[in-house]
Amino acid sequence: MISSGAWTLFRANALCLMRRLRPVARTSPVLALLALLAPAALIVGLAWAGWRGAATMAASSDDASTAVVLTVGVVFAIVGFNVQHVSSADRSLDAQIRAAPLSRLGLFLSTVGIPFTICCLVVSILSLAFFMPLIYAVWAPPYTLIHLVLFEGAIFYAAGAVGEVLKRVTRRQPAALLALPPLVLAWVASGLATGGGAWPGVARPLGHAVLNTTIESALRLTCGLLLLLLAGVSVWISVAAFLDFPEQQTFSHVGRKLRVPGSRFGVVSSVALKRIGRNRSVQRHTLFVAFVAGTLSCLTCALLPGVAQIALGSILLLAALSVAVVPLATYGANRDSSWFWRSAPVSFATYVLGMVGAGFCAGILVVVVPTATATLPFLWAGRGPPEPGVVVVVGVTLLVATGAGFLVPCSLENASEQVLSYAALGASLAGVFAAGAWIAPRLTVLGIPELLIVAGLTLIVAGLVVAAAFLREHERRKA
Amino acid sequence: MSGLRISGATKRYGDKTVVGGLYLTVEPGVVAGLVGPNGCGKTTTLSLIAGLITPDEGRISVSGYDTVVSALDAKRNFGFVPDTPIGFEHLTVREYLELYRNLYRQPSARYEERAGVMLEAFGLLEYGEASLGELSHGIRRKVATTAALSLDVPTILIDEPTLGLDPEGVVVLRRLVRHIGSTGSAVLLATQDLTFAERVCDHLFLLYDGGLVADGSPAVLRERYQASSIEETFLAVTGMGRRIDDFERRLDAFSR
Repeated sequence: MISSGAWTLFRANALCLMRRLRPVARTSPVLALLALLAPAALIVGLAWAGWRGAATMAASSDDASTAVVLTVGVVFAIVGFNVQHVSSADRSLDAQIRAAPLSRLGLFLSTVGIPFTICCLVVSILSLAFFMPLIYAVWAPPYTLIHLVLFEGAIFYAAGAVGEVLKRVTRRQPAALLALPPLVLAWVASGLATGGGAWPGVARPLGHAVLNTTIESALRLTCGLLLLLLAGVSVWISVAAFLDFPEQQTFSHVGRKLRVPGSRFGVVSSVALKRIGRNRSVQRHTLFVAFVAGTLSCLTCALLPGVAQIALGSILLLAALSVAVVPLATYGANRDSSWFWRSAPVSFATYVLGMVGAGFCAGILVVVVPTATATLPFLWAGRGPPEPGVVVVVGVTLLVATGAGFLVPCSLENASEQVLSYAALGASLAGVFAAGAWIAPRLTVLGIPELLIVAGLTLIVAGLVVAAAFLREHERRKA
Repeated sequence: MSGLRISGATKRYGDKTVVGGLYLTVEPGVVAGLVGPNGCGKTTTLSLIAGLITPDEGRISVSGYDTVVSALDAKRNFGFVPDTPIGFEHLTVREYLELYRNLYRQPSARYEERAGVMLEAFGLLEYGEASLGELSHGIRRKVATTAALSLDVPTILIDEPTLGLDPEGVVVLRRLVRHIGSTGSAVLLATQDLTFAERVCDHLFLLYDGGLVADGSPAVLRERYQASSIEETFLAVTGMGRRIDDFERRLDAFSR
C-alpha cells in the first residue's frame, strides 16, 4: 500500500510538472497542440505500422518470432533503465522535504516508483497498438496481449532493478550484485517452465504465442510471466528501498583538467560539456548501454544470424534513444549556472549556440562507446558495418534530443522530468521523420541526389533545433 | 528522554573528517547555536541530525529516537530549515505549506493558524498564491522557516537562519525562535552570524575543523576568554585573531 505521504509527494511533483508545461504552451501553441495530438497520432501510427507489418511477421520464422519479442523486451529494458538508473530519489528533492518523516520506500515510490510505473503503462499501450493487428491477423487468442503486457512489465522492472544495482556497485556497494542472481534465475526458471529453454527464456514461447505458430499452454505461460514480473518488482523494491544507499563521496577525482578555449562559444560549450561529462550518472549510463548493446550484438551474431543486419540497426537506434537522455539533460543540468552566463560578458546568441553545441556533442560522444561495442561483434562475424541511413537517423535523433531538452528541460535526477522530456523527444522525432518521409520522395522525383536531400534535411532540422532553442531561451529571459 | 543528543558523531568523506567525535546535548526549552567558520562541520552536523546523511560513528537521538535506527520516529519530532532554497518551484506558498504539513500529518487547523501568524509577521500574506519559483531567495527562506516553525514538534533545526533575510525578517525570526524556546522546544541553529547567535542563543557550541572547541552560554564564554563579544571570543578560541592581524599587515603593505 502506498503511504499517503508518498502519494502526496507524487501529486505535488506531478502538479509541478504540469505547471512547468504552461510556459511551453504559451511560447509555442503549435507545439503544444502537436504534443496533445502526438499520443493519439502515435497510437494510430503504431497500429498502422503493425497492420502493415503483420503479414511479414506472421510469415516469419521461429527465430524471428523470438527476436521480435526480445526486441520489445529491449525497448522496455532501456526505457526502464533510463528512468530508474539515471534518476535518483535522494537528489531530486530539496533538503527540507528529505528531512520530513517519509520512509525510504515512500520517498522512492513518490519520486521514482509511481512515475516509473506510469511510464511502463504508457509504453505498454503503445506496444499493444502495434501488436493488436498482428494478433488479429494470425488469429492468436486475445489474452496473448495480456501475456505481452506482463512480459513488458517484467522486463521493465527487471531493468530498473539492474540499473539500481549498477548504480550502487559504482558507488562501492558490491553487495548489491547479490540482487542479480534472482533475476537471472527467474528468467531461466520461467523459460524452463514454459518450454522456452534456459537462455531464450520465456521470450520463445511468447513469440510463438504472438505469432500463433505453436499452441502454448496459456496457464504455464501466465505462471512463467508472473514469476518473472514478481522477481523484477520485488528485486527492484528490495534494492532501491531497503538497502542502505551509499552516500556520494564529496571529495573525488574528477578526471582530466578543464582546458578553457579562447573563443566565447568554445568556453560555453566546453564548460557545459565537461560538466555533464563529469557526471557519474552519465558515465555509468553510457557504460551500461554499451554493455547491453554489446551483449545483444554477440547474442544476435551467435543465435540469430539470419536477422543480423536488422538487429544491428535496431540495436544502434535503441542505443541512440537510450543515450539521448544526455543531450536531453544537458541544458537542464546546466540550468543552475545560467546566472553565471547571463552576468558574464557572453552574448545571448553565444550562450544558446554553446549550449546546443554542448548537448549535441555530448550525445555524439556518449553514443560512440555503445555504437562501437554493438558493431564490433558484427564486423568480427564478417557481416559488415551498419547501413549509412542508420547513422543519419542516430545523428538526427541526438540533434532533436538537444532541441527537446531546451523545450522541456529535465535534470539527470528527476525521473518525472525525464519521462516528460522523452515524450517531447518522441513527439518531435515523429514530426521530423514524418515530414522527412513526405518530402524526400517528392525531391527524389525532381532528380535531386539522395545524399544532397539527406544533408539538406539534416541542416533544416539543425536550423529548427537552434531556432527553437533561441525562442525558448528568449521567453525564459523575458519571464 | 527528550531534547537532542549527539554522542561521538563522526562523519568522514574519504580521508577528510568533516565532523570528528562530536558530543553535544540540547535540552528542551534551550536555544542552542553551532557557530564556526566555513567548512567547520556546522551544516554537516545538522544534516546528520536531520537524517540527510548517516554518521560513520556515534549516535544521534531526537526525543529519545535514534536518527538511524528509528529514523521515521526521530523525523516526526523535528522540523528542519535547510540553508538551500526550497524546491517545488511551481507550487504556491500555501500549497507548499499544505504539502509539508501533510507529510508530518499535523492537524490542519492548528498548523494553518500558526503558519498564518508567521506569514503575516514575515509580511508574506500577499504571497500566499504566488509560485515559489517567482519569489526571491529571501522570501523562499521565510516560507521554509514558516513551514518548519509552524509544526508542533519538540525540536527545531535551522541552518543559517539569517541567510537572505531582511533586517525586519531577522527581528521576527529572533522573536520567533525565542518564543519557540520558551514553549519548551529544543532549538539548534547553525550560523555564522555571531551577533544573531549571541542575542538568541542560551548556549553556544564553537566548532572548528570538525570538532567542538568550546561551549557555554554567551556570557560564560565571554567571561572565560575575557572578551567583550562572542566575535572576540571566537577569534580567541580558534586563533583566527592572529591570522586577521597578519592579514591586516599585508593589506597595509598593499596600500603602500
